Amino acid sequence: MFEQVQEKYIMASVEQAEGGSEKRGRKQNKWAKRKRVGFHIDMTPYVDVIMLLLTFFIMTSTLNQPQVMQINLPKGDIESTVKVDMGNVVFIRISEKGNIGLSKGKSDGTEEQPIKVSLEQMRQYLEGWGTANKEMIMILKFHRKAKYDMMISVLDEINRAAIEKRYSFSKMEEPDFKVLEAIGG
Amino acid sequence: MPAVKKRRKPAQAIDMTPYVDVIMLILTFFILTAQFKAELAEDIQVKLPNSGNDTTKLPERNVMTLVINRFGDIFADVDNINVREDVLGDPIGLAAYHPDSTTQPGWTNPSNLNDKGEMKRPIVAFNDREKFKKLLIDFRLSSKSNVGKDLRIVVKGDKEADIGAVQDLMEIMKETKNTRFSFVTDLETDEKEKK
Repeated sequence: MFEQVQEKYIMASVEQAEGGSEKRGRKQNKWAKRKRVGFHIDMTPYVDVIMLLLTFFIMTSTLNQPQVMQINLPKGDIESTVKVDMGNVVFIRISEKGNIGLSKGKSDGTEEQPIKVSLEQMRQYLEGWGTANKEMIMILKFHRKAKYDMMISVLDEINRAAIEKRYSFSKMEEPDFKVLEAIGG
Repeated sequence: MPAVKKRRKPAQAIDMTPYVDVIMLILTFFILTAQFKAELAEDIQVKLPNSGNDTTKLPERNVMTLVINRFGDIFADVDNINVREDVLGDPIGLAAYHPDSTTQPGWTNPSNLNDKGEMKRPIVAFNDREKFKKLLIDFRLSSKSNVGKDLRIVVKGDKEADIGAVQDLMEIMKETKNTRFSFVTDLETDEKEKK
């Protein structure tokens, strides 16, 4: 019985707030004072807590999600070698200091004089050669002491260039050091 | 005059319901999108290199993370506690391997690894290349049997790390037939690009 009345009153209160029927409100006036106190729940502490939680999650959420660079190494045994036409090969050598030596292979097995390029120039050269020769293969040789940052930058430039992304990693050997010396180490 | 009074009444107590509704929505959004940093990321700090056009996001689950710090140490970790328990014998263990025998591993001094100078996780050191190779294979096998899913491999290298360590790791991965992996990078901003 009591619950029923209470429910009625709540409805009335809502209506009243919207400027609705005054009749009901007046009729049950004797209830009014008691119920009104119960009806207005103070939301301030609730909102305070929620705001705190909100702030916490905004602060802790990581906005710059790390990206990943997909690499596919060739499958197969390490010993198995693939013969390629030297005319299609482009050597990219990175020296210890982070200099880039870029040179094109010739069909007779030798290679052209290496040129020292910046990352930006390297991309332009690669784009030029890559569009002229669709079979181009890039061979990347990094000095062991060069920085990983450099490796990512080079791979990034290659990914950015509008060419076929055909490249492989190769070990740096004695002749490569000499080539790099020619462009200033 | 009573009309004026009535109008004032509702204005006295501001109805907070819609306001709270909106805030709850925003809160729910942030709770759901929040990603808690993996334990490993806290323990071993690396400065990620920047790259421009990698659009792939870092996978969230079933990841094997290989961290290379600037001392040339390689840390191998998986995000599943059962797999770690299974393979390393320690649910919070962290496998470490130093491929270059000419230099000292950096993990002997915890202050090399992070700013706090302490490791929350015990390091399980691998001194043998063959054992480390076996570890990588075991991680994947264990993940397949425990979780039912293969691991995706991500390589997190420090900017300052020597390429030698990365090359060693790539060789190990090739030998263990892990030919698909990703390098984790930070998105490059335009200002940095011009450098």
